[in-house]
Amino acid sequence: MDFSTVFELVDDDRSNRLTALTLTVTLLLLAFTTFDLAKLNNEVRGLVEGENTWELSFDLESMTYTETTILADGEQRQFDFEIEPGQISDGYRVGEILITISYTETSGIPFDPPDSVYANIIQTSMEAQWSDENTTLSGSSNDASDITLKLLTYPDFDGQAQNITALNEYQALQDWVMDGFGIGTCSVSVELQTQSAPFTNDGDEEITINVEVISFKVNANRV
Amino acid sequence: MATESLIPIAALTNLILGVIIIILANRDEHRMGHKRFTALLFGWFLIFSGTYYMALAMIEIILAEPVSLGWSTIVFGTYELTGDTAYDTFVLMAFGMRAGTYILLLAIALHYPYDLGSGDGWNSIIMGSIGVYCLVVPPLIIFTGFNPAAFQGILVIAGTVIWLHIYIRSLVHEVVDGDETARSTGKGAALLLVASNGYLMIWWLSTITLFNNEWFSGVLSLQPESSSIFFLTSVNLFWISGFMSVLVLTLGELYRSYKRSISMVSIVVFFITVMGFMNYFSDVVLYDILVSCYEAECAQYPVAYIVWNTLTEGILILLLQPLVLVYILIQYQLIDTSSTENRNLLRVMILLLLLIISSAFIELLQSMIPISQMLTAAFLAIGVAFFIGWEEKITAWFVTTDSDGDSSSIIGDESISTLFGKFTMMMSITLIYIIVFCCLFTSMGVGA
Repeated sequence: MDFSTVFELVDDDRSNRLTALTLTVTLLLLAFTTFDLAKLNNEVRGLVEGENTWELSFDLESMTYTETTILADGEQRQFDFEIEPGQISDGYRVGEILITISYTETSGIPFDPPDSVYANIIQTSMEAQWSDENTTLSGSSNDASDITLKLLTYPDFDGQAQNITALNEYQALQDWVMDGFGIGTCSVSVELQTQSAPFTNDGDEEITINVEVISFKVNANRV
Repeated sequence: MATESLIPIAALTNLILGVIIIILANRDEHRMGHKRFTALLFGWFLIFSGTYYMALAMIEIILAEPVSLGWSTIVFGTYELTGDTAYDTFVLMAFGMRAGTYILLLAIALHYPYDLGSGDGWNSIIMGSIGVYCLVVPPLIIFTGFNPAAFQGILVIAGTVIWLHIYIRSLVHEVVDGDETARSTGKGAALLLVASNGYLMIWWLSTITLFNNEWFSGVLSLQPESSSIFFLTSVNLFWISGFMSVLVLTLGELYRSYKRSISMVSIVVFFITVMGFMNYFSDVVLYDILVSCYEAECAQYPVAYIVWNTLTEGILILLLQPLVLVYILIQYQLIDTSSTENRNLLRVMILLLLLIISSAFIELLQSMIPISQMLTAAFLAIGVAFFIGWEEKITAWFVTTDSDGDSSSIIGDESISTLFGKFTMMMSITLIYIIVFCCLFTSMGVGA
């Protein structure tokens, strides 16, 4: 075997010095970049393999709309409540909407029985958990007790603290920082059927609709 | 907006060129053995590259979408078997073919522009090493969990150092000593550096600013186990090979342009340097996505970035590489361009290459910007008419530009000719062996 070409290639001191410089720079850069990558690798593995349980807690705020109106016997009326992003505090998201319809028998006629009230939340384009089992879209009352309806807007929201597993705070919060839920029109339909005592005429009733919008801000703490 | 994939085009181009080059190299029995052997190495490199891209193209067909398997998955060995037999088979094939291209590139570096050794023993060692490497390394990578694929960075940096030294030596002799013949070898070394390391060179600024590491940390977060320091060093061997190639070539070409004149090689090198800036800025903009795998959920790149990447990295790796290799083959007369029989095949090769690249480029543009098919068909027709009308001149430009000077600068061992038949046979067997091995490995349910 003849390697004379190799010797020919390294017979020039000037190019050898430049190549040696190139090799030195190469080795230094290799050490520098590898050190950095090793450091990053340790950080990443620390995240991936470290303690990954996080406690999520929720700061709650509520906003209330109230509307009182008089409905005639047999009347059905729709009430719209606009929930706009500007009404929600920074960092908060709408978790659920609680609607209470209350009334009393106000005719003042002795032995006049309480009227019947039927209430429904009408599905709109609002992003919410319309078919969730924790959502109550309709209710009624014939004893003057309050009707309570509930629209769960944010998925799985119950306002209770919970523990989850995640690589980091960012990922732990990911499920709770989605925008858009609970923003839009919340429509409630209320129908009145009056009940009158014999020989009396109870033709209307005062109904109060109370809409409570509960918003939340999530916090994550490593357990 | 979906972009068309260039991978099937690259597969087709590389395979056709590889076959033609091997035919031409085996045919020229009266030519210098060293040149013929270098041409054979080029041919087999293109065949292995073509088969590699073919495997990736098959994955695209299986997934029915452009391949989501980045080149880094194969280069750095960060793959995990999915249990899908067809998918895994083609990925393993890609690993095997990629290993073949590394050893062939190193063999080319040992033979071109300078034949670093001579004699039957040396040539047998080179050929035997290629064969043994192709037989042993692909199974080794597959059986050891793919990460060892990154260790092949040693081959890449070895070839890079050889070509860089040849380039530096030629530059000194040409510019300082006034030796006009020295440019020829320097140009050859520079072009081969671009062809072999181009896909790494365009990330030079991201390498030195450590953005490549930031990006790779996202990949590391998906690994089942912590990576060893050897693996991390190997990963950086690739990046540093690209960075040093850009650094030396850019400084060298700037110096040469200042002292002499700007050349085609200078323009290619400067283009890659500028592309490095652009890629760095895209890295900065996409930083959140780069680290999203461990700071959040792995996020997808925006369409604009995919388009940019296809137009730069895709074209550079998939289409420019075979073009540069063919240019070197013809310019340095590694294959005989004088005989009528070869000349016809050469014309076919050049026209085929230009037509495939131009039609692929037009299709690619059409997939990215909303221009009508009528218009792109017209552009293609113009291209075809141009190539046919100017076929003689294009071929002549490839063949004659300084090729006599370039050709005479390539010298090497002549005793090698007797081994050509055996080498062709051995490479054919290793190619089939890798394909069969990968099929067997996955069909036996290993990794399922």
